[in-house]
Amino acid sequence: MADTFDAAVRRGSAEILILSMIEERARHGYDIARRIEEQSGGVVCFNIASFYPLLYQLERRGVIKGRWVERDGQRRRRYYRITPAGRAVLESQRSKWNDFLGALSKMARLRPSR
Amino acid sequence: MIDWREEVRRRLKASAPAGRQEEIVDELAQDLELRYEAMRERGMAHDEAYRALLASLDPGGVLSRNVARVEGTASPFSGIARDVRLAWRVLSCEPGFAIVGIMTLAIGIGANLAIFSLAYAALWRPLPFVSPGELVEIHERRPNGAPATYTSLPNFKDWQAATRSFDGMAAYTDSGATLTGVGDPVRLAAIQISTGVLPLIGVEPMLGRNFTEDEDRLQGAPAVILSHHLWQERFGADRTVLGRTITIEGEPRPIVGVMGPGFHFPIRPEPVDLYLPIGRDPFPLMQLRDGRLIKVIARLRGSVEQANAEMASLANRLAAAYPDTNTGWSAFVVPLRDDWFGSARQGILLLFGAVAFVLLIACANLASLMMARSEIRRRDMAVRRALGASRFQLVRQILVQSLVIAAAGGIAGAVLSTWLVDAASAIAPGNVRAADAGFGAVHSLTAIGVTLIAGLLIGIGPAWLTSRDAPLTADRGTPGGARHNRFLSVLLAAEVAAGIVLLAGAGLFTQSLSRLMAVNPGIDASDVLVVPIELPLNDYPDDAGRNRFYSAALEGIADIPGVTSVATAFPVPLGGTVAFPFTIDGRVSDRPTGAYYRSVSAGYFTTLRVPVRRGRVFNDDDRANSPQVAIINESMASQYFGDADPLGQRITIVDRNAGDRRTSREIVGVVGDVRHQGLDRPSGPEMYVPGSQAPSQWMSLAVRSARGSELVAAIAATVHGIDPALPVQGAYVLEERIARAASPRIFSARLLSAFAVAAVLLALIGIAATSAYIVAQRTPEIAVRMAVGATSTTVLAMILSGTFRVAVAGAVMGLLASAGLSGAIRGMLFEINPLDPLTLALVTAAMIALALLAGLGPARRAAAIDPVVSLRRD
Repeated sequence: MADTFDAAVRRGSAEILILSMIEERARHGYDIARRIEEQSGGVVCFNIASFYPLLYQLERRGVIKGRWVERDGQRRRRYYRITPAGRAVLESQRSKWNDFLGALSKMARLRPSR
Repeated sequence: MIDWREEVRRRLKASAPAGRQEEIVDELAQDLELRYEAMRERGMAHDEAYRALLASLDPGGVLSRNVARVEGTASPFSGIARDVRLAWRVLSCEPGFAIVGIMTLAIGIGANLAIFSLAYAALWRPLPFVSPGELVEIHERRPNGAPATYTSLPNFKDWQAATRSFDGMAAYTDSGATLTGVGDPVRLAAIQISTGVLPLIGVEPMLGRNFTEDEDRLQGAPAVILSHHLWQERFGADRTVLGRTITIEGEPRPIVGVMGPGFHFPIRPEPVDLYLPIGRDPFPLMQLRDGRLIKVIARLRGSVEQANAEMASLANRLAAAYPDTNTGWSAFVVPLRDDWFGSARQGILLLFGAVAFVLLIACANLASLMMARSEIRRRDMAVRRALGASRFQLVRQILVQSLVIAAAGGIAGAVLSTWLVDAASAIAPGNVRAADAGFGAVHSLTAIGVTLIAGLLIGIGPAWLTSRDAPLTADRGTPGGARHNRFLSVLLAAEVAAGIVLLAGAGLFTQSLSRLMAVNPGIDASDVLVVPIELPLNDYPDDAGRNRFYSAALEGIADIPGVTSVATAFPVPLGGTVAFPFTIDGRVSDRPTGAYYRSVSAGYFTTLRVPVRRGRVFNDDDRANSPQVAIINESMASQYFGDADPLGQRITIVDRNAGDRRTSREIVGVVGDVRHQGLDRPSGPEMYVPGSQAPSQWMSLAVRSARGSELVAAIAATVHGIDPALPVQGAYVLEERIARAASPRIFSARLLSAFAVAAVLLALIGIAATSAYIVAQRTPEIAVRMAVGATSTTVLAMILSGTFRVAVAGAVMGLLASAGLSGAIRGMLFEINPLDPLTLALVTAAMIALALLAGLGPARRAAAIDPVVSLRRD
């Protein structure tokens, strides 16, 4: 039950997390995954087997766009940036999560942990 | 140094298209590398980092599946391979279902492919000539409106000179020729052609040349062209054979050409041995305007309509110029293929229809089995649907399964069809030859097409219905059950309907055949051996010579031990027909009418046991120079003499084979009608003349003897004792020939019966299996009914009445379909109506009874349900 819950939460929240990470600038896959893990304090982490397919799916939906970039002195990397459609999705997700979390914290008396 | 790319590549398998796969490998390997470095920097040991990363890369082997799912959304066909593997696994877990399905389809598809091969050879395949679509035959229409496929040489020459709608016109006809001097004398199948035939169809001899104009006229230079197989068999494929002289019809003729191996002029079913120039034929009738002995082939320049209009106006002009022979005759064009194969079309289409029905039943059968099986797997479907499989994916999975069965059935069917095609072409009517059928690219495409259609027919219903209910019904009983049972009922009704159509067809054709076989031919053909003789005109130019030969032969053969009696006849029964004009002496008539004509020796009526109605038969006193006499049949007596006594009356017969010699003859006898042209053809007015007074060059010997074909050698020896150069071949037992004339009907009846039996068996298996399934579905309901007081009798009645309703619905569909198809078979039946009420009633009753019988087992199991046990189980 716990596993299923975790998986469902992760799947449900992955989209908004990934989109938020690349809202300001394009990032490569490892960078996105690392930031999510760091900024969530290790609460949310993805294994490679599910993270990249998720990226590819978002790309297919036209929400993000990946591009191989070669920088001097570095190996070429695939950078993902958010598309205009992705921004619209992000906005709508933010408002939905806001409503949902607001309601949830009121009803379940959640307190953000510090 | 860890090769992360290799680690990724190995786990990714082939889950993405090739180019994309490498990109993913790159990206994931980089990620792993960066993670590894970070872990090491945090002080993690190599082994630990390595293991952790590999675990995160592919936990439980999901990497390739996840990637494939995402990448798979690009094309609806990716993942098909997985579906095929799954289908194969599912089928190999249920070998019984798989084998029954594959065999059922193999029979259905194989039979369809075999009949298709024949139909293609006869009806659709382009003829092996240049632009065959432009080739037409020119036919005439008689004054009574009936078509005439043969015309005369003078008409042909006028057509050729006066028309502008054609790029060439040529004449040909089938004939025979005797070859002597190369091995034993042999009678060969020949085609006479005008010089224009080969250029017209765009074919050249493989060796040598076509006939020249000089060779294609009376008294022209002699010449002959060999067929490829005669060249191989009789001349050892000798390439220096050109210029060599062979004796044809007693005349030395040089070989001027040899045709190529694939060349076949399908005017006749047996292969043609040699080609002769048509214009050089010395037969007097050939030169007469109403001697309709040749066929005309032409290449259209414009449209059919244009050509028809021109031929019609030309026919009018010829009628005005030659009123005696051409008044009332018209002419029109017919596509070459229709002329050559038109007679085979109906029979082939009939068989085609029958095998299509068999395949439909097989498909309906498998569809209901699939339905029952997918029903069992509905929970599985529901789980897959809940896990995110789209409806499309579920439909596809079931369809792939049915297509896999169909593919296996199709392959087995294709193999089966190569055997069936030989069997089927042996019985194919008309000019369709086994060698022409074969298995080529078109057949392969058809096999694939039929297989695909069969696979879709089988799978589409189950796929649609099962996937439709999948998410809803996982945990809640079977709300889709009623709909599925309706679908199954429709399939069952369709099987019953197709079974009735085939059974009715088989019943009708079988009865038609037995009625035909019961027809009295008017002769006693048992123990009669027929030996065709053809006297070459060069050696036997006059009546006296022929009479000498025939009387010597009759005497010699009569002395052979075991011979009861012997006669000569032209033509013999089933040996073709000849009709000559005649007038009744003393009666005024503007035009002569025609009657069938036979020149027979004195012993003919005794040998064939033709009953004499009045007067006498011919005897040895009827000689060439004695009073000229004739015998007529009953039909002629009643048609032309009514109640008056024909005996002693005189008729004048115009002998078209003897330069229109007119002879007035006294009618000395009336004999019974004989079905000379086959059991299904009425005899019509017929007149007999003594062989001695009109000896034809083509008399056949009819020998009555219990020894049958044992006698051939003795007869040949007798004939060769008189003329060593005469070929004696093609002897046959008359009774067999009469039966063979009915053989297309026999085979239609047998084949249809075989198809009908196969169809009914398939339908019964389907009914039994599906009833069992429906009973299983309804077990809870039945248990409840029984718990509240239903007896096993009422349950039995309930289940059987369900089967009965379906069978009756199917019967109604089947009867309607039979009525719709009746027009198509009317012409093929002998003295039976395609809507014969007794046949249809019997067939319907039998089919419904069999359906009930098939449903009885499952119904009894339903009646034996123990409500306590089955309700507790639920």
